[in-house]
Amino acid sequence: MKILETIGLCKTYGSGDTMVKALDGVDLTVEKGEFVAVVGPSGSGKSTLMHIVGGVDSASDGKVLIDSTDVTALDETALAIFRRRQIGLIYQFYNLIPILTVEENLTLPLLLDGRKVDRRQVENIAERLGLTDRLKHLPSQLSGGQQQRVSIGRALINNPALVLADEPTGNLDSENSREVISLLRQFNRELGQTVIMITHDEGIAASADRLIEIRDGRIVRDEGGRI
Amino acid sequence: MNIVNTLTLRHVAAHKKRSVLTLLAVIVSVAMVTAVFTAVYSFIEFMKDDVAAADGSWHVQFGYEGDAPLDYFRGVEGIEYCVSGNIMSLAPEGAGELLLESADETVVDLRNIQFAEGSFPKSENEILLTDRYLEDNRLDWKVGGTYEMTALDYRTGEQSVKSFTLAGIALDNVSYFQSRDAVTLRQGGLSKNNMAFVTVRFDKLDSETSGRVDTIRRESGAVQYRTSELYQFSGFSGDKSMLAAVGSFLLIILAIIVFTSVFMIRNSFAVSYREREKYLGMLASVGATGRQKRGSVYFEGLIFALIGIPLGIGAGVLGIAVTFKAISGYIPVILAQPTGTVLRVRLHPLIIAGTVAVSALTIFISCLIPARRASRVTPIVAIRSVNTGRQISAKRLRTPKIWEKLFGFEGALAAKNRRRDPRTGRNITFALAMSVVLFISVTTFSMMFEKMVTNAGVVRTPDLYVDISGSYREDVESFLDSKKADDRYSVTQYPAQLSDRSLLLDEEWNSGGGEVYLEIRAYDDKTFDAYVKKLGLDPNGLRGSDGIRAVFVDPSSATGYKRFADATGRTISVWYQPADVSSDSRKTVELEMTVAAVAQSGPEVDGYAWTGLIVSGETFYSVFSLEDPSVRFCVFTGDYRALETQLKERLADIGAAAEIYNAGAMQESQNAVLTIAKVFIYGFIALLTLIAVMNIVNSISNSMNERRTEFAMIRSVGMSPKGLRRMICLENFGFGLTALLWAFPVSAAIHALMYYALSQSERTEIPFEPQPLLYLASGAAALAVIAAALLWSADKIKDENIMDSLKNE
Repeated sequence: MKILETIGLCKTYGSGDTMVKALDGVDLTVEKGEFVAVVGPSGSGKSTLMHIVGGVDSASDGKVLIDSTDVTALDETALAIFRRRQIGLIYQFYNLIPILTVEENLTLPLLLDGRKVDRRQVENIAERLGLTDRLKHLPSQLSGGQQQRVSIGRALINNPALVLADEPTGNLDSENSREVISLLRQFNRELGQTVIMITHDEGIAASADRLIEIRDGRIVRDEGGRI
Repeated sequence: MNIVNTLTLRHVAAHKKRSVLTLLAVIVSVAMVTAVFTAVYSFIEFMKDDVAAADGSWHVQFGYEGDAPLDYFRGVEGIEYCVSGNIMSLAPEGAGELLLESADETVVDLRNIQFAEGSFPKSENEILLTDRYLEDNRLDWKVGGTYEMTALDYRTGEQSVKSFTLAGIALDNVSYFQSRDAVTLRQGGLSKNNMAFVTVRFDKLDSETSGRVDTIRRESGAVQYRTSELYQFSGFSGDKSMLAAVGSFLLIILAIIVFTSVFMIRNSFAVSYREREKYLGMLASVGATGRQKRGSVYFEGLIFALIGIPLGIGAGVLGIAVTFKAISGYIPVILAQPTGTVLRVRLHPLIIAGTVAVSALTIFISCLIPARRASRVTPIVAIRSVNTGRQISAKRLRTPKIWEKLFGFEGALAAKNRRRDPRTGRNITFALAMSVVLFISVTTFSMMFEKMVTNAGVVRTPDLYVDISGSYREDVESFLDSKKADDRYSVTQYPAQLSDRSLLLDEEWNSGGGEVYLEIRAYDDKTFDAYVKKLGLDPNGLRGSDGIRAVFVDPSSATGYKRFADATGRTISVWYQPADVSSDSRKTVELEMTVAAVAQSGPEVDGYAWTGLIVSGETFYSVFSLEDPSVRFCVFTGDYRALETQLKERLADIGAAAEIYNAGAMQESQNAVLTIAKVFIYGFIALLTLIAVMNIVNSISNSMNERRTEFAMIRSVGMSPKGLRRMICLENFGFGLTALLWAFPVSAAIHALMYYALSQSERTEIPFEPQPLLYLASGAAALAVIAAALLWSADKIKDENIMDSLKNE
């Protein structure tokens, strides 16, 4: 079952002589439950692809279909609600809100949605992430690895259609990196969560089900897919 | 509370310094709105009380020719009324005219008549008389005593001797007794040949009252009616001019407060928004909608409103209470007839509601732009840490080489920084410039206005004017000599008309044939001699018996529009009507006078222009052969109140009646009004400046805070703490100097415009006085504000560890 499909996705910056093509007609399909690693040199367009797929940036041309919804056709409010419910984003620098507790950061998408927080669900996910005794702490009281685990929990709390991780280990030491990847893998295998992850680490990329390489805004390699 | 509001609340709590400043700005703004509403309402209520005390609680008075329609008024519901009319002119022996009105007893309540002793008359043979009449006429009448007097009855037209029993003595402290001295009980009808009045008080005033007044007027056949000030103050009378004037004044003041407050408070919210921009981006990335992000700014506004509005209202009421207390000494001075009414703070639920509404609107408008910006924050801001501020070109940041040579590398960096963040610069510059312009403009205006009102810029004017029959001239002169008044002059005059029309230059006058009115004036010898000598003439030359020699006073002689040809040396003819015209009212006397000199004005210094001829006293009295012509004494004295009282006593002793105008007391009253106005205007400006100062401190402090990493980076590459301080100071004092470069010319232009407007409208010679010291002081104060803001915010940067700051990024 196709969970993501991009059709002729383009993104350009600037105009005239200074125009830069960040994405140049990317066609990509991801099946539900896949664990995809996206690699490529700096400036190749992989983060741009991730942001457009995640609905946090807009495409210059082309379409993004997530679970059959054309994300590029949604207005700002609908897109925010879609992002809240269907997308989980994990960033290199965690992007936790420093004045909210771990628990509040974890449940932020639910709280924004005005939904009642299921305590059991929170405890369950905190346990899986090893954060049970840290729920009332502020992000500044956690280590980098712990902060990234909170970020993973926040991305997964809503059981989104797609989890997008932008270099989730880029700011972590090797032990914490292994732990984070292992967690993502675990959620992918046990819950069938689709994960698309950008990484520079060849080792981490090799552990993915599928490897996509992007250069100059184009997909130049796509290996190991479930096709 | 939802998560976005929780986040906002925590953010406000986490940034205590900025939050306190924002809250203070809100409190000051609300306090000003409260103060304006409360002051205006309290003043109106004060005026109502004062009017009620001095004039009574009546609302409308209807006038009828002959008797009032009593049957009609008996049938009107919801009113209290009193029927009255002057019925007699009485003349007790050895006393002045006593005007007697006949009225219902309800007049006591409706006109607030107060008794010194006794009671209201029970019959037409009793009277209630004012204490002033008894004092002025030195009558030792007792309540219960019966007194005989000559009476002219308006109802019958008959003159007879009547006896009246004194039922009571009333205090002459109400307007009712301004046009009558005594009142008796109305028992029958009033004069058929005179006016009867029905004074009405409505039980309830509402929007229908005005219509009821019209109905009563029409149905009762009133030939005239008038409304009381109390009714006009209520806002329900048809005449809305007074309330419209108050309303316009209120609107202008509120508009200024709202505009200034919005500008200042908006900046606080903008600063807060900039601090939260990244959070908002993070929220957006996990699905916060534009509405939620916008709502977070409005919620912040709500927090400040909920805390700031009650505190502001309290501060405003307290401020006005203190101000009223401070000016309470001036209140009796400004009232024409002090009633003992106390100016105190009055509150009304509608005043509070109005304050809350205006304050809430101010805060809401202040939030609008930051809220709109917040709703547009994209997740990219959080993901990439992008600065959404406007991008500026390198060209824009280029600084002249001379700048670097003068102030070193730090100076050049400071200049670049100023250009890099124009928004902060504009805020600080505008806030400072506005405060300076307001302060200078109001100070120069009040200085000019004071000079204009007090005439201090020109000459000292007389403090007392006494108009009295010439037969008492010597008595008054000797009295004034004994009291050692600073100076005085006396003048007497007689109206005449110009016969010699060839003197007229203006064609319209010649062809139109209109009369040319002149005054023939004579001054006391000392004044006349000094004046004539000043004109280069010999005073005795104007006293000779061989023909009348006079000075022709023509105010147009020194202007570009001359009414008369140069009359110097010419003999002109004037005519006048002699005082005794009872035998022949058309009798006129022709006079020929030789003009010794033409002058622009007479010797008086009160600035009133007149056209006519000045002759010596000797000539005046011999020519006009008037029986005791009225003479005016113009007296200069520091103790005008005491002198007026003593003079009145003296005049009563000699049985002389005089008109006394106490210009000194009037001036004192004007000065009191001026002082009160100044207290309010300066208070108003002080509060506006306070908001401006908070805004500046907030802007500078936030700018310093936002750039901590940048400062650490500069220090990490070797800038010394001294150099850093130098850069920050140059940058911020640059804002101050830019503000002054705007503020000084604008203030000077406003000063010039105000001078032009005042000198045009008042035709008063007020000097244009540049105020360099005022400008210097304002400039120093503005720079001191910058220095204070730097001191407030510099402690954050001073001892900060470079690596800690860099890591924060």
